Amino acid sequence: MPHPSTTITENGHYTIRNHARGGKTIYGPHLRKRGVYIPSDEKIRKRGLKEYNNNKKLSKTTMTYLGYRSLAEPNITKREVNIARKAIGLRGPKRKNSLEHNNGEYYIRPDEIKRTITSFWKHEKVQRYLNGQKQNLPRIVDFEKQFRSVYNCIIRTGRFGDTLESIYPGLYALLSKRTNSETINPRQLAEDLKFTLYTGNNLLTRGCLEKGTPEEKRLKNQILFMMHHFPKYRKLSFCKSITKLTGIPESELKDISNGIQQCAQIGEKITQLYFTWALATGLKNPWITNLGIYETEQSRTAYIYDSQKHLGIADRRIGDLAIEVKIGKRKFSPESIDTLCSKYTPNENRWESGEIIPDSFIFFHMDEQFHSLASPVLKNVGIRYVKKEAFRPELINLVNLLEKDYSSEILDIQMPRIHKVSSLLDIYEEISDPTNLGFLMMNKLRDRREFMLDLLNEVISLGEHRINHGA
Amino acid sequence: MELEEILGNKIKIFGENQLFVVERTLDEIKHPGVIDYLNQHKSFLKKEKLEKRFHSLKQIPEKEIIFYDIETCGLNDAPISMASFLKLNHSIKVECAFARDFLEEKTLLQHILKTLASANAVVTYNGSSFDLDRTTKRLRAYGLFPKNEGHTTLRTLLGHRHLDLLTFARDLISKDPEYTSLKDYSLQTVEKILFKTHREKEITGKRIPEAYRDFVSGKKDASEIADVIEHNLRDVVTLSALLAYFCEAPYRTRGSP
Repeated sequence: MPHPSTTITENGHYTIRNHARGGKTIYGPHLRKRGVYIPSDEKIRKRGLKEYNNNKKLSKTTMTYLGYRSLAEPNITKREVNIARKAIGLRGPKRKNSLEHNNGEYYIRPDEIKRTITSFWKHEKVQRYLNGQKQNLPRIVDFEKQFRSVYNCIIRTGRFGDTLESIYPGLYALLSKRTNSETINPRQLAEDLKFTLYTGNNLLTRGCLEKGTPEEKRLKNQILFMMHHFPKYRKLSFCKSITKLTGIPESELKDISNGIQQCAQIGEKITQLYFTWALATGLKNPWITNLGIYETEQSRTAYIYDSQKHLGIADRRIGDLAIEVKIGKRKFSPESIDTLCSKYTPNENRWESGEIIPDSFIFFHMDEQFHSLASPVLKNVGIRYVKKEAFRPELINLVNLLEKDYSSEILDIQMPRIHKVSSLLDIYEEISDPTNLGFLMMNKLRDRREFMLDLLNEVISLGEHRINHGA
Repeated sequence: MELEEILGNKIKIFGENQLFVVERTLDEIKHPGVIDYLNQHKSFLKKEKLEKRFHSLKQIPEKEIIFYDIETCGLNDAPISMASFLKLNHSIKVECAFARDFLEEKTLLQHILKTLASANAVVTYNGSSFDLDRTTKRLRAYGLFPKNEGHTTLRTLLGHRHLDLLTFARDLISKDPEYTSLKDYSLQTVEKILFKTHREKEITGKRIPEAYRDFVSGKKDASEIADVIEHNLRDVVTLSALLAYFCEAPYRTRGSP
């Protein structure tokens, strides 16, 4: 017999008995037969507040109470803590802010943060900068270095951009130079990416961020930003994001490294072809007086450098001279210049077979702008280098000679078919021009690269045959 | 046997590089049923009649219509090996530009771009999805696609100047109860049913990429690739006949080809 002041209400599948002192017993599916008792709303609220103050989170029991309490709310079919919390008027967990201690982390008052920022970025300078006048403002990275604790305190509770914007509106976007979601236009980005990729620029290497051009860096940053902030791209890898944006298949993007390798081989073969045929025809070259057999076997081109510590492989070897061939469309980094110096400084290193390397030649089949940093350093240590501008006329001489005297012999090559001797020169033009090289590296021109390699191999072996067996 | 000996061609100088171009008149092409039809219905290829049937051609001045067809080395982004053009002006000229190896593809593409960009109208068969699309891809691969004109594909570059006959073929043939059992709308199938002709001993489409690679690598002599060139030339002639057929269609009594 229920207590006279007890009322019973129906709420969907659940029956709720409201007791006189505010407690409730709930009956219904998935609940025990004799019902589940929960204390009054007031008691649960007090309990919750106490727990928030002590532990900053609710206990399991309170959560259970809230779960069952939610079943007394209309249109509820499963337990929802948050709905019950709102129904009884219990606030949510307090969010952390910079004023709060948390596990001993250093905290700074907002007015102190503001004072630090305004002293770092002076008001007058910022105004001039925002008005578009020329003004050198320190970067955010500098602020981070100088006031690390303040910076950490800000980012612990939110974005640095929000704090800076609240003090100087519009400054963060300009200072950070990072694109934000409003300034990224995926369609424009896709077009830019396509253009960049079609011109052979590689966005997939890690080095792109450090060594790449400003344009490459900008594109890469935009993609990274999209991956963090655009829901469509959040779960994708970097490569897949580019594929999604541009429609260029992932396989093609990944194949670029293979293309670079083949292009490097073409560069080496062109140099080999020049020296092989120069020897075969008796053509004088301005660099190597005692021209010998051009050796390519790894056992002959291995050398030991860096005080006998490391084993390196030269691209080619003529007599005891080391030959290194460089193609590309990027500037040499200081590290790579150092490596070149340690590998090829004359009379410092030995071939694996024991002979000292008396001299080394580096052939730059690239524009001068890319090796301008490297060449003076190489000259200082005594490494001899040959520029594209010097090699090209010599190659033209050779091709003219081949066209004149050996044309029938070369055009007789059947696998692959050669239709004109001047193709050899075309290959060199293509490999030494930065734009064309960029295209040649792409997967779409794989057939072309392979054909070039086949053709060069055939012409070289014909030259070697002439050297070994005479005409 | 060398290609020049088999085809008796001319080598055209194009740009800095030599491009191998086979030039033919209509009578020199062995394609009996189609050539006969074309000779009988040449009048339908005149501007007034074309405009009546194809409204998009109204905007073009009377100059040259180019029929365009390519052969490639395979699926996806494989290189283009040859492109045939039928130039319809006061006379009909047929030519096939052929890349003898993968190095010559660039010259071939330059030639294609120059020819198509200067044409008043370009007629293809499935060009929207294949010929123009593949040409665009290859032009981009070499960085040859013109960037300053605001177009991203050859299709948009040509705009209303491009006419894809596949859509007309589908439209016309699908309505005809006689051809309900048609297995596909390939050019050769359509040619077979409309012009009642059959190409005998011709190389199959599937074999073409392999034949080209065999030729370039020197594994086989030039006779097979010469067949491919002839095949490509016939295709482009069929295209022009097809255009005449579609122009003639409204005047035709049912059942007569």
